[in-house]
Amino acid sequence: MLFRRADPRRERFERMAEAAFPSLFGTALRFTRDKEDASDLVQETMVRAYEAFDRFDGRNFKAWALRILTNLYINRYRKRQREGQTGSLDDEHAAEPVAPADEAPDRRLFDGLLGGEVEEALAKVPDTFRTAVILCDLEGLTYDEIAEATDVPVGTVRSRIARGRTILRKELMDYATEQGYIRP
Amino acid sequence: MKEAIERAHALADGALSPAEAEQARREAAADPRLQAEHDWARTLKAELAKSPPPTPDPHLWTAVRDRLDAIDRSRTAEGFVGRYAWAFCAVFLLFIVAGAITSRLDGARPLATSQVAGLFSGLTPVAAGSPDQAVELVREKVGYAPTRMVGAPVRVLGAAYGLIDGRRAARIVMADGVGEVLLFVVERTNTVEGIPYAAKGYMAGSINRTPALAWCEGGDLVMLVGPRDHGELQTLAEQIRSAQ
Repeated sequence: MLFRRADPRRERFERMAEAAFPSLFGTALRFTRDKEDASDLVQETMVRAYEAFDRFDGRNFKAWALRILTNLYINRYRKRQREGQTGSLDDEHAAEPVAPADEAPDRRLFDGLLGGEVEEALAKVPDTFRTAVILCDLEGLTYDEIAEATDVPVGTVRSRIARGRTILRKELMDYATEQGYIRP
Repeated sequence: MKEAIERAHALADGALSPAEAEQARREAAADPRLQAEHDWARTLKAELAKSPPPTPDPHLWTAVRDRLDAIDRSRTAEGFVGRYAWAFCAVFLLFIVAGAITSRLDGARPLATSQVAGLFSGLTPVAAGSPDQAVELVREKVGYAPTRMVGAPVRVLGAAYGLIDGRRAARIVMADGVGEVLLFVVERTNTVEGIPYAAKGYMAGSINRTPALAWCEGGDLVMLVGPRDHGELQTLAEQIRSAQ
């Protein structure tokens, strides 16, 4: 393909996609928690995005591609992973996020933890809440963008993010206490 | 309380309207638990933002590009076919029409079984006063006729002519000492469906259980049909051919 004619559309897509690629792969990996599934998911996302590139509004490629990735994940991978995991953590029954009123050890908590441990704790957060936290806190999507990507109302997104963070906090606290980073 | 906690988190995300944000700030100021939720949300966001994304395998981007190449190739092919579909159709149609015209104008074609029936019933009888006139008429209409057939030991009893699938055709009713025989001439015809080649360039078979013998003469078909065996039909055919 030495003399392949340059296609401006393809070049424009590649430029944007390559820049967003690490982020997309990271999100796919955090969603699926499996490297092979993440590779499949991100490839499929790229293909879908390229096929639909004419409909891209030109504003935020990463957010647009993340929406495609999240939709694909929800429709394809999550169904497969969900088996055996449903029941106790839907929106109505999840534990209410209530922070202890008499302490604010969040800074100390993170001081003792490494990035990998935070990732591990994040992986333990139930799927629905983890998806919302990842898109919000790691990828910086707005509530509206998350609502569109996950196909739920903005109010549900708000609720899922608050609960997801609270569950993550509990996981981190348990781990830090267990490791002696903070005192119980 | 649940809504207030969610507002505290949403405040950290900058996802509230000005009025709601003001409400969330008042609530946080009044309740240390809500302030703690707000602080936790901000701390977590800041910490997760520091977390670099996992590094993808370099081959993965190559694999993606390969798939994009495949899409481009497929699009190119589809685009070409889509753009020139009308031209493909036009050329194909042209081939069909040209083939049909060529075949009709020049080519000798087989005579189908259904067209054989037309030889018997679809030709217009000629009110000929004498065999000579009938033969002349056949010669004129068909462009070929055993013109000196009258010199052979047969009599011409009548004639008919017409078109079979655009080809001129004639039927002559002849009689000899054994009985009547039908002589057919069809222009631009080489074979008769259902009557295979036998020997010496003759095709032998039967039409409606009556023996038939045919041969091709200068691109035209000549056929004898009569209630006698193929050997006798061949003898008669050779008399006719030698009389030309």
